[in-house]
Amino acid sequence: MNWGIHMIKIQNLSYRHKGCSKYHLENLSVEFKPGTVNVIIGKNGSGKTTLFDLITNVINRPAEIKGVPKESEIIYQLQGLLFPATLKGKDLFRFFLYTDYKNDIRISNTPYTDQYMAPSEIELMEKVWNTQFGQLSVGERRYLSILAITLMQRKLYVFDEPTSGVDPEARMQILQRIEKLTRATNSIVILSTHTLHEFQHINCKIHLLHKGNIKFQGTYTQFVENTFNHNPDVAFYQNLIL
Amino acid sequence: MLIIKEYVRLYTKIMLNNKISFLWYLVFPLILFFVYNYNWLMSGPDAYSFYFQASMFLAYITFVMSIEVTTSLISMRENGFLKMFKFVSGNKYPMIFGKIITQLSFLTLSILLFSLVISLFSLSNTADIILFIVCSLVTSLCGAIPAMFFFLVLMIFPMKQESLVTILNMLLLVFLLVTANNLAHSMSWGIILLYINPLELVRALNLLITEFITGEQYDNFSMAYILFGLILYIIIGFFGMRYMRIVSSTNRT
Repeated sequence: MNWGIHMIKIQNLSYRHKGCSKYHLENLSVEFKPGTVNVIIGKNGSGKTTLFDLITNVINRPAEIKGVPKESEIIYQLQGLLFPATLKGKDLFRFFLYTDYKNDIRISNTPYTDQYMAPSEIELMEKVWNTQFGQLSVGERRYLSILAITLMQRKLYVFDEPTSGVDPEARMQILQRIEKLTRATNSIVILSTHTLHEFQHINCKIHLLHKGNIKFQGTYTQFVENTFNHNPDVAFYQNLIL
Repeated sequence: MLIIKEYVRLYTKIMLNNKISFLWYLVFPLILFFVYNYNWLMSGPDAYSFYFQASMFLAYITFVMSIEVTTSLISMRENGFLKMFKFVSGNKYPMIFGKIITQLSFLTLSILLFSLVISLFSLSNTADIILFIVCSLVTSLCGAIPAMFFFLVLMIFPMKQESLVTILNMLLLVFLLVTANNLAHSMSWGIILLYINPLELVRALNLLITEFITGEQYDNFSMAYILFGLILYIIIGFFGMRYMRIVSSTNRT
């Protein structure tokens, strides 16, 4: 599918929540382009979710944010939603897909698989398909919901910490599914995270948000190039104190 | 429609997971009904008294099950469900209509069980039992739809589910006392109570429909007043649905 090249452009955006004296975002200027995973990193409370809420119009979108597709072309994934413990993995997956207004995928009793899945993912799907939600690990729940979301057709995908609380293998599987969105479509993909190591293998652009503004923008390689052992956590810290 | 069906499926599973709430909806009014009318177990009541008394309890069940549409939606707002699935489904309405349909289904079940149990103990004639059950189902569903819409207006306000439930429990007690003591009929400004007390309006509609079905006359408000109230509730409900907050302002999601 091809929706034409577009990008989200934010220029000099300042924002503070009602009743707050301190600005959460201050003169923020940033661009999010298709073809790469736009990774937002920053300390807790640095304004990542606020930025997402503004882009997606959950908080009224200011004029400084341009190029955002209409709301029906956006998907916004949140972390940690709870479902009834008795719901099986296949029910959860079905629920996500069947409530998507653009969905044309049908679910059967056999676990969902596709050609993009690694053998370990197929094995995971077989395991979780008939397991109750209450028995699924955080990572398994997260994988199922992200997989369903990546099967939805949108122009903008926003993932709020999709890999938090997930083991390294599942993190990689989730990120590869998300990265695939940038290859197969001209969609814009934005995600926030606190775990950076896996992005070494992902085509991404890192945006470090600190004190309401962007402190660093660039590739993973550029982000870690001046650190000992190319450790992204050290790079994160170094960029904050610069 | 398929999307709404999927929400109904999920909400039904959530409701079935929470069996305790059935005590609140069904067992509590059943116990109360027999405590208040224990003498009917010995000698059957006359039709007028039975329908009049039952209308109070049917209105109560309708009220508490109708308000649960809003309290559940507020709970889903607090945990981020509404925020996320508004984007999945393209808009918020399938989530709301799914909840209303689920709640109407459970209301039907509760009213069916309640009316069956009390009529079996109080009425002797099978035709009377069937008539009462049909009457109860029709009146409760007709009252629940405007009430469910009306309560959606509460979603305009940035309140938490716990706060709302506490306020409603206190209000419910007041509404019950006002309705059970027929204050709306004994005061010159009683008509105001019909509009500000949803329990009163649901009960008035209940008695109005019962009059149509059974031919009995009850001490009730006129049809024009009741219809005005119902239309008002639905208009307020649509306003509430249009402008409801889908994102918690008290909880970060």
